[in-house]
Amino acid sequence: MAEAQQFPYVEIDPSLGAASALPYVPLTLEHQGNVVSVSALVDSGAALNVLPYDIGLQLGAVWEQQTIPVQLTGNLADSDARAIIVAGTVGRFAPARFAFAWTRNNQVPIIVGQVNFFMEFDVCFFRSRSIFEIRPRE
Amino acid sequence: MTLSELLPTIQSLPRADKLRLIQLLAADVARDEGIALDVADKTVPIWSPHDSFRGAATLLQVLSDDKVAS
Repeated sequence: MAEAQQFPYVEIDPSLGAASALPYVPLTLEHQGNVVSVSALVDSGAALNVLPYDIGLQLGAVWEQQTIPVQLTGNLADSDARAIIVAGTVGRFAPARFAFAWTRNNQVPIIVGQVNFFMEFDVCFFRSRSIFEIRPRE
Repeated sequence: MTLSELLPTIQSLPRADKLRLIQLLAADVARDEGIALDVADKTVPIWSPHDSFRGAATLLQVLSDDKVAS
């Protein structure tokens, strides 16, 4: 079993401190030779991965070339989304293939959810200590 | 413009916009009446696509197809 790598929770609003802490993981995305370093919300309650529009553009993706629509719900339901596959590297682990719902929306963080981040990595949250651990699946 | 002229447009709005319209109207009326209606004029974004299962199934299919192709 690969050794887990530990990451700290990130306090989004310094004035609120621990009340605003969320598990954001540093993630390096690569698509068609373009590399973008981002911070992604590790969201075990999200059914899928979500990529904001501008990040997709930074990766060199072309909206018209992504032809598979992805149906989103909630606040994201009003924005079109299309499937895109991106290579992603977490910490010191080998790159993995991630399928994202690339949304036309920019008001959303990069979300890594059940499909397929949690299918590639085992994640353990230790909220009381404001850390979480990630290791590749066996 | 009369309500009867507006109705077809309102009825063609997406569900989220209809809800937003209800909130706006409720906030407007409450403001006119001097009633504090905290919930109506606040937007609380919840971005987590917690139940986008159909979208998740699409992504799994895309991954599967991509694996076969490569």
